[in-house]
Amino acid sequence: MDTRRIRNFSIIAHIDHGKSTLADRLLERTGAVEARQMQAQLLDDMDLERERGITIKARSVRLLYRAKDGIEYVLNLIDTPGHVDFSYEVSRSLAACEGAILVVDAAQGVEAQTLANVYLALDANLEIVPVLNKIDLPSADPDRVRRQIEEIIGLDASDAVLASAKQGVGTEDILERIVTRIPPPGGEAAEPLQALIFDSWFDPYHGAVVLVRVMNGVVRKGEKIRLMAVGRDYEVTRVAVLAPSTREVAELGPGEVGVLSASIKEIAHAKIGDTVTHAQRPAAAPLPGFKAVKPMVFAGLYPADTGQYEALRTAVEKLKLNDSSFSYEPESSIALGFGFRCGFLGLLHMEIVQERLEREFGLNLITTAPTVAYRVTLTTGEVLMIESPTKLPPAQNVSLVEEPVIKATIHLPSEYLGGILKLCEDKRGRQRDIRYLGENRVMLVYALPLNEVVVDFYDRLKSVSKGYASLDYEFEDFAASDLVKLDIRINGDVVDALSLIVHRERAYMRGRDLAAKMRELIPRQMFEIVIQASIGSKVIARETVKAMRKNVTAKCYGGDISRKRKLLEAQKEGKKRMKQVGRVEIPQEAFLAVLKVDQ
Amino acid sequence: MKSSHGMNALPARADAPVVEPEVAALYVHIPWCLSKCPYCDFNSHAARTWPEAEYADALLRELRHRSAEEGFAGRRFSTVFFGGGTPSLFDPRTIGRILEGVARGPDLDPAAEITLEANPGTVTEERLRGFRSAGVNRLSYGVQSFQPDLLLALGRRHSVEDSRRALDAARLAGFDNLSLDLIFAIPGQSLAACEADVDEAISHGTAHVSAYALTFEPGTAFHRERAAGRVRQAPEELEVAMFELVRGRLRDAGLEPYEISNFARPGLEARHNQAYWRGTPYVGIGAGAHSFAPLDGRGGGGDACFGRRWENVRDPGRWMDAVRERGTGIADTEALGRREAMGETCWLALRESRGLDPTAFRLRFGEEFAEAFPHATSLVSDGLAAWRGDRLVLTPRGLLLADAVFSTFF
Repeated sequence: MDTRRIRNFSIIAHIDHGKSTLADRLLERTGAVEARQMQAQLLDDMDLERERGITIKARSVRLLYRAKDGIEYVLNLIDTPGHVDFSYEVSRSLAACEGAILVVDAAQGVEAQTLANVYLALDANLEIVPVLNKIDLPSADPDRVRRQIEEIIGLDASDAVLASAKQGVGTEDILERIVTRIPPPGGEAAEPLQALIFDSWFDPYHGAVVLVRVMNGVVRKGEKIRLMAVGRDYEVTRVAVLAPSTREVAELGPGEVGVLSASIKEIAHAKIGDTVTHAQRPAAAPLPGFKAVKPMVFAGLYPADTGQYEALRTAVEKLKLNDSSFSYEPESSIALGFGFRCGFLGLLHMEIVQERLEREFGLNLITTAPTVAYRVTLTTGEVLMIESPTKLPPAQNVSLVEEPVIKATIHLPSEYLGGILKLCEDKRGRQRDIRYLGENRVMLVYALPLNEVVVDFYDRLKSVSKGYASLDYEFEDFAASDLVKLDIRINGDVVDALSLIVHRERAYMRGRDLAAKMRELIPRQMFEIVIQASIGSKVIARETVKAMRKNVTAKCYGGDISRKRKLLEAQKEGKKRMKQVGRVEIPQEAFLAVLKVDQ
Repeated sequence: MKSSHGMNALPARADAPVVEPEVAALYVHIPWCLSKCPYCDFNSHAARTWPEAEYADALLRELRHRSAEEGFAGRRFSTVFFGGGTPSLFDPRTIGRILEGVARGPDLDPAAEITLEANPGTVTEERLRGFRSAGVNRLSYGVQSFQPDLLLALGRRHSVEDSRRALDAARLAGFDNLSLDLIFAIPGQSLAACEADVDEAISHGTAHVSAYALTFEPGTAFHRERAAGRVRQAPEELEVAMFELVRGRLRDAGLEPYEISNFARPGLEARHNQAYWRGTPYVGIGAGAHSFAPLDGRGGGGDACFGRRWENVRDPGRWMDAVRERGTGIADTEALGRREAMGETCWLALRESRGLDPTAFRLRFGEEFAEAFPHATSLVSDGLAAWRGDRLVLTPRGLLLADAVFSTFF
């Protein structure tokens, strides 16, 4: 295919600024989908994505558009996930594009989430086409938002398209702008094959399927291909495009986007960012930017009802088929019984996995506080990776504990600088860089211990900056740290599932806050409950939940008996949502109390 | 293990069977009040006039219909209870007509306990004589408090003087079996005010007292006011202190606590209410009334049915329409499975001071209590329940935590 007829682009937008609606309009206008067949917001096809209004996995769709110049163009709309946990995936999707449409709500203006992706797009040298959406709203103020885009992002927005995706206004203009403003892809058909994998998923009939953007060369059915990072060879069994339904094609050449099936058995072998080349005539080098994605955050997932363990095992196995960034291994807890220690990219990823397990598999789960993987050197010289606080060896056997440190890049309006600097310092951050980008914008670079970030950093960043700060992070290195295990004891017994690894200097505060929070979360029971935070045998905080003194319905006569029985049954049901540790009923949310400690 | 406290001093009557085979209780609901109290979640409707004659016709029609049904047929009513609402608003002749109908219709024990609920502001000695000659032999007065400010807080229409006059008038009219209701833990009530109420209640020398901790029932004005922060519930410690004070004082005065909220001179317990707690069949007639028939689990159908409960249409007009059309105003029926019936039997029995009789349990369900509910041993070791003789009773601490104990039987 003539690359001059191809345009590859993505849409960047804040969570409810109309990305999905705009995508729907583009699909409709180009006839990819008949309006009446359309399920609203077609691109986000998982229920969960639709509900949360976020895109978890990237998808793409191929559109045909006859422009005003009379030529029919192939437009590949490449969707991107929209959260800090997935910034690597976003960067690979953007690497498959030459341009991006920046959708900004003409009433609300630029918001933080947009910024992180705009910066990624600018880093990837994409041509950015600004669109002011929702101009039909009475509160729309295009002039103000234009100026904002110029000031905050430094992008000329004087000719931004005025659109209302909801009402179909401006769709034609946007399509024309894509054709005229976004450059066609480069690449040579004669060169050795280089195709970038920017998404993959598991299909029960085809195995792991990869979504690729061809940079150089041509790929056809029946050819032997090699996935360069994993070094495995496969035979292509199908070459197709998503238009949006899967349609087989003879080949994919430079600039084209499509899916390859090659009987890849494991999703772990279809890595995002990897390069597909030919086994016979491989490219000299893979495409730049590949990173092996590893889980950064770990938490125990346990069935609330211990009888659901086998069901949970089946569920995590199935989930893993489709999610290479998720990991799991069996774990057991004295308090919670049998479960799994699971690894996630970040907190949102963890929440999504938990919700999918509960919703799609009908499980009722208890999640323990998220932690990171520590590198522990024993006095014997042996080095262990510790992903669970309960596995931390006794202090006398440990010579060194190292914790993962991330490089966090934060963009923020300068008015919030003070608050955010304080937050980073509170979180044991080390400043690497501070730079003014124009009058009101600041970029901060901090080295931050990941264990501080997984607790509540992102939420606090948003609250300190009223949502205007954006965060992007990557793993940097392990660094030695003075870390201790903080235990929570309930009526004297350590509840293993509540243990945490914290910095020694923070331990006292954290222990006190946590014990106080537990006191709020554990309902009064028929006896007094003592909650203690301790380091080793040293108690650093103590709270009590007083015994319930009175719980009796005064009246119970003829008509009340059924109603009363239902109330008593409800009390019993409420207890089922709790976990009995020793004699104490602990509500599920208490196991995540560490995330809810107000600072 | 024996309870060291003498709180449950009423001697257990080992000879009394749990369900006397031939008797039943009759509840008659009179749904109208002059005004609705802010704590009340009963099926009562504020009104100035009501279709008394038609309502009485419908009551008798429903009674004939229901008393012929499985579980009730052939039984003799040993208690009748006119509840409301405010039954004392009805003309004594109407009450008389209903009782005649009961006696003519199924069967009424000549020695039946026949109770009428009355509000102190609605009675005169003359009206009371009318109720007495109509056949009513027990009055239950909704006194609630002897403090003017607390009556106001409760939204009651009557005065303290009304209560005193009504108690005296009842005696003059020939009622010697009197009960009065008290409410405690009223917002703003002090322990001293509670004590004053109990003392005055005792001074009237009634056979029976019911003393209820105020409950904030969903759907009531008080429930909404509390949610809005305009009414503050009594602190738990105060409520506990009142509960213990009320129980102690009444017992010392010879009014034995025989149930969580009920006190009586020995032999003058409310037999009608005991029927509810002991699984005796009862027929409820009138708007929103409830009925119950215990079954033996041998009936047909898939799941063995160990009892049936019915609820009538709540709205008086619609209930009357239903009775005219089909002979009964049943809105809802519920079948009790074996496990539900077993649990219910246990917690209802534990509400009474005489407690639970494992022998009666075995006779009814064909299973040992200890096997059906093995956790009872831990209730005992936790000090919530105790064996007194061969019966399981709640301890003083268990009494205060009764609902938590009861929920373990589900």
